[in-house]
Amino acid sequence: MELFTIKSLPLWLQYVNENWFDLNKLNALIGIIIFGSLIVYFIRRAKSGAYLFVRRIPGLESIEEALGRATEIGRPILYISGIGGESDMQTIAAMNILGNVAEQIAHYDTDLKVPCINPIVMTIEQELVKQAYTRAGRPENYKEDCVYYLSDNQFAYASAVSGIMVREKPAANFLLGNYAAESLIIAEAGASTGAIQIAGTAAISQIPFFIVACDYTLIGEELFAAGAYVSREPLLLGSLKGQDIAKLVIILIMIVAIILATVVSALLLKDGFVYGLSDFMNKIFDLKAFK
Amino acid sequence: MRNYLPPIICGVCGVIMMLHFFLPENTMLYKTMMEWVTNSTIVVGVFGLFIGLASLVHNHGNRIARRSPGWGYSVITLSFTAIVALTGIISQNVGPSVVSKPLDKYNYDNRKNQDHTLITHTLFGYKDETYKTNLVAAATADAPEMKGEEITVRKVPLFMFFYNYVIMPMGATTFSLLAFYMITATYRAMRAKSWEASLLLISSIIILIGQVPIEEIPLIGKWIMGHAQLIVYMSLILYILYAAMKQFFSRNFITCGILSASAALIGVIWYYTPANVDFEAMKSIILNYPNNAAKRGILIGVQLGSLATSIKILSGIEKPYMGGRG
Amino acid sequence: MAPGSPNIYGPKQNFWQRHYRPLIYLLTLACVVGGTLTRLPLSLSVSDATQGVFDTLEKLPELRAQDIEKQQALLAEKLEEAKENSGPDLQKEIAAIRDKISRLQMNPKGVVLVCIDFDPSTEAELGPMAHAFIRHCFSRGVKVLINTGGNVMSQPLAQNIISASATEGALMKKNKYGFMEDGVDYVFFGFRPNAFQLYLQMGENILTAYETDYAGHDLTLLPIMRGIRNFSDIDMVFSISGYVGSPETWITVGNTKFGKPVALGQVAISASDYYPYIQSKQICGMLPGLRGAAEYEGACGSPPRATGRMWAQLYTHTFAILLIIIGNLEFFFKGFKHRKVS
Repeated sequence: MELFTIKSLPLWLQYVNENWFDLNKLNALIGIIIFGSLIVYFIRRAKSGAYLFVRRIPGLESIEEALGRATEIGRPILYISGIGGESDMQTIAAMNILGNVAEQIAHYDTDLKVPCINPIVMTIEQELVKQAYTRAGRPENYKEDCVYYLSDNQFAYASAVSGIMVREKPAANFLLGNYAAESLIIAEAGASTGAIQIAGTAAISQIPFFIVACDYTLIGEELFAAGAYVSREPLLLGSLKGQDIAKLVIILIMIVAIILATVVSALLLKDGFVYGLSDFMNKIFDLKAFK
Repeated sequence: MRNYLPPIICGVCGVIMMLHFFLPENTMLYKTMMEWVTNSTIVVGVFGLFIGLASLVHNHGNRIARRSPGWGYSVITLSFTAIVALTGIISQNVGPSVVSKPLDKYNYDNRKNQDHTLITHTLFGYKDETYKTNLVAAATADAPEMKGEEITVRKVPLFMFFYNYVIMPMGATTFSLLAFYMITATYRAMRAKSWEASLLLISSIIILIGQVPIEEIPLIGKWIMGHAQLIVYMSLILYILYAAMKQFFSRNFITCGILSASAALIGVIWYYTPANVDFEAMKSIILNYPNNAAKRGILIGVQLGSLATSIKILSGIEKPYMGGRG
Repeated sequence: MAPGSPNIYGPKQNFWQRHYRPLIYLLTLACVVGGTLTRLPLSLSVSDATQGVFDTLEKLPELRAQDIEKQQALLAEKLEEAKENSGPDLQKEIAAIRDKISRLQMNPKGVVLVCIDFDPSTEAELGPMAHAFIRHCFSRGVKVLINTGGNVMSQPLAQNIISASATEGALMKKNKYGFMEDGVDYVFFGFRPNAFQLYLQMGENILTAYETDYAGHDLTLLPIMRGIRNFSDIDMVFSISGYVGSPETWITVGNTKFGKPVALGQVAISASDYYPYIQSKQICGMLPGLRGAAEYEGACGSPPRATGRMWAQLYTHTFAILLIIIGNLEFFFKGFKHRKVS
């Protein structure tokens, strides 16, 4: 019976901490629950018909213009989903956009080329494009060769893509996903052919190169918002809103933490409520803070 | 069933991985799961390799069969894929020979007290007078060892030959294209079209100068850096006066006055600032403060976006593995 | 210029405006060739980021001694406890601590794990820093464990670097060292797929992650591995990576999980992404690009591979600055001309 008293709580916590749940990561669990709840709440709001404002993203507004231009000129569209693997979030975001873009392309009956660096991503994108053509009611227009594997070496891939751009002269290039040093090679090759280029990546160091060489650039999380923006589905819009509110919560926590830290260091506090609160706020996002 | 099974598998696997994150690290369950995940990833990765190879052969094979434009490149691609794959499988003793004489000897004061030959090569291979062939062994573990005046012959594994003399130079060449593209992009993009562009321009010039020791350039380096303050302040004052003149011609006299006063203020600051401009310190300040702030902001946004995308995939809202929407 | 390709100047162009691209490429080539042919010494000041890496390596014997002291204090505590209440679990703990102390004492100068994770395309920037760091380790008597990250292309490159560093100790400008023996002074694990899980396994036992070294020798038979079982026996991690995501993996595994100092070697393009980690002390330092490699070579006395290449960077940067100035002057005067016409 002594096992189930208040006094034995520390023993229980120690037992749980050693065998079932690392209590240092409790803040991560609470964060996931809060974040997930916000997303679920806004998805419900979106499903119930509430209007959720999403600001204009020029790069995504111009997708239709790019596709129309390609159809008029009669040249293919090139879609590159970056060099990330199948578990890379940026590649997944790029694949979401590919589904929507492929559906529109199926309506216009334009050629689509999707060269891939990763064979598993290639198989997913093959299925994705096929489903998109089926949804658009044009399954007969789907060509198996439109999604293909080039090489898994970064610069071999960049050289091959540059060659495709120079030889086949696509009218529109979509450079969406995770990029590294090959971003400028691909973007400049595309710019030299006169294609309209829409790029998007969360790789911060490559964003300046895309801004210089491409017509439209999606920066950072605009890439993740693109799926919701293009499809306007309530589920996706709701999750986008939830994500933004979570960001707002983090910003507010950071502002409060900064103010408290400034007060503590200005007044040289060593203990007390303010000091304790400041210490707690500093440790909120630390996975080892409560060891 | 076909519509339900993949999202269920995805959700279950996602939940398992999440639970794994929260397990204490020294438990048997954690270690077992870790081993299971590692082995599964390796197995799936190997299958992925075969899929890629099959796609490559299928794609290029079709081009050769149809004699599409550029089918010759497809022949080269497929033949070299086969050749290099074979070189990795066959014995390491098959390869070009390297015959070499000692270039120099060093006595190492160590436990073995043995002579060891230093193999070096120039941009164009070994120097002819010291080596009989131009084939280069590179400084690998298979480098020839010399004893006295003996000449030994070693085989360089063919795979290493391909790696050192085909893959390495070609990889370096493709990466070096970036330098040229970056220079033209810099020339095109770095224009003071607006105040934000001007800010970008000024900070990039500071970083460019701070990154390299310009004072070391022969003949003119020291002069440039000695007059760096003059160049910087004069450029700033001239630019502000130019903007003031634009406002004057547009009849915005108040703005013109404010800009002129700013130019005068900068002149006063110049008069009182110390002689040397430390571009390296300015570069460090730019990298450590505004750069870090911007990077952190974008990182937080990106990570939240990734988290939201993960939750959407695990809960089945988005199904990229099933063609977008199920 | 190709027909149909965009031109920033519009329909009426002079010679420069028609041919600016190839002219700029030629001048860039001239800068690079000029830099390659310049054989003068170059003095560079060492940045804080580079100094952080250097200082951490220099302090490894101290770190190890502190670790040994901590373990000895813990052993004394457990022995005191054993006097009152000796049980099999406590005895196991005491044996484990003694084992740990003996392993730490086998390598008093420290152990470093170097992850060489780049391919030939980034070898120009990252190769010299790998050479310089490994030579610095050898010159200080630090044992070096080398592995590669998630890409198989790094493996032959790593092999070249290690062989050169192990045999070229006499080329050091200061702190020359003798011939380093494979299996005694260093060990190269080679490539294994699935880097993240591999690093986590190394935290438990390196022998479960790698059974043999690159040459196929059983790791249990190598003298160097007698004092190294897992991450707790490693004092520092240096990740030289040209790939996206690899440094974050090491920061997560090496620093956050195992509490070891992590240093990074990065190409210049990616280096600015990792300054926030220096500020938050998640990494002890970073070698940013060719400049970082040249600074480190100067600091440790390694043969000047990167320093020689800095001349090309110097000339090219100067040319870039000139181009920016010319471009802006062109932009301003075009503005004047338009107003005059209107």
